[in-house]
Amino acid sequence: MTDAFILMAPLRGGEQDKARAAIEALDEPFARVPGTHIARLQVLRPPPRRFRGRTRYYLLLAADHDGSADAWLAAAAREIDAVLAHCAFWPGAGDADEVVRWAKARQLHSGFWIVGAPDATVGEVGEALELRARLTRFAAETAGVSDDELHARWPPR
Amino acid sequence: MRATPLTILSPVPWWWACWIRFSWLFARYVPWVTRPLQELSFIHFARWSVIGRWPADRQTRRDRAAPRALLFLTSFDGSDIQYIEAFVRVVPKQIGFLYLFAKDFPGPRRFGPVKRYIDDHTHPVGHFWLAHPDASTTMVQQALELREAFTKLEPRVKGADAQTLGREWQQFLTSTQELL
Repeated sequence: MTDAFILMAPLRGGEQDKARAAIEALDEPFARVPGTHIARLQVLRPPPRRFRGRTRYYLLLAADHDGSADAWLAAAAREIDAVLAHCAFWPGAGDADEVVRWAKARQLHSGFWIVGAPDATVGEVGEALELRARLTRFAAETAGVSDDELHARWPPR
Repeated sequence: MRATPLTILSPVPWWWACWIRFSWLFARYVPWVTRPLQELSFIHFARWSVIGRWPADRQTRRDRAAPRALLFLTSFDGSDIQYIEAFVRVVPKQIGFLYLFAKDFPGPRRFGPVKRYIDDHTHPVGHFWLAHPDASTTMVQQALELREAFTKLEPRVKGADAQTLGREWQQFLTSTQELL
C-alpha cells in the first residue's frame, strides 16, 4: 500500500540559495531509498499576506513510498542530508529516531488524493513492466509458429 | 522522462480552509468526486493538503506573514497544458468546489484564466524522481492487469502438451491484446 509523506520545513535564515544549490547537486538519491515511488524536493516561499511583511523560505519534501514512514524517512534522510542540513533545527541524519521526530513535527497531511496504482509496490510495478515487455516480445517472436515450436520456446524469456 | 511534476500553492481564507478539511471527510466516499478524477488516467499521483500554520511545528515561531493555503502536488503524463485542459473539461465542478474561495481563483470553466492562475501560483520543483520514469500511468495499469492474467495462465499450461499450450496461449493473447 502506497503512503505519502509531505514535509514543509523552514530553512535557516539566508540559506535558501545554499539549499537550492544542494538540491541541484543531487544525483538520484531516491533511487537508493527502497520503496520510493515518487519524490520531489524544492525550496518554496509562500506569498505574503498584505501588511504582514515577508515570509520565510521552506523546504518541501514530498514522496509516495511503500512500507512504514519511519523506515522511509530514516533512509531518505541519509541520502539528502546535505539538503536537510539547511533546515532550521535539523538534528542530522545520524539518529533515526530524532530524524523521525523532527520530520513528523513538520509533516503536512494530505486530505485528498488520487494514486495511479495504489495497491502495487515499487517492486511489483517493476516486475509487471518487465513481464509486459517480455510477453510483448515473445508474442511478436512466436506469431504464426506451430504449437510444437511454441512449446519448445516456452516459457517467455 | 514522461512525467511532469506540479506544485501549486493557493492562499485560502481560514473559514474556507475549515470547509475544505470538513468536505474531505466525506469526499473520498463520494463517487461524483473520486470517479472522474480516477478516470483521468494520466495522473500518477495527486495530493491536496491544507496548510493551516507555517510552519506546522508548534514549537517554532509562527510565520505570521504566510497565509493559510491549499497545497496541490501532482505528477502526470504529458504537458501541463493537456493536464489543465482535462481538469477544465472533465472535473470543473469538483475543482470549483475546492477552489471556490481561493484567493484570485478565476473559476474552473475557462482554460486561459485557469492556466494563468496556475502559472502564477506554481512553485518550481528543484528535484523530481520517479521509480519508473519511462512508464506512463496507463502502461503501469496495463502491466499490472497483464501480470494478473499471466499468473492465472501459468498453472494452466504447466506441463501441458503443445496443443493445449497453443490453445491457451492464443486465448491469452486474445483476451489481453489491449494490454500488450
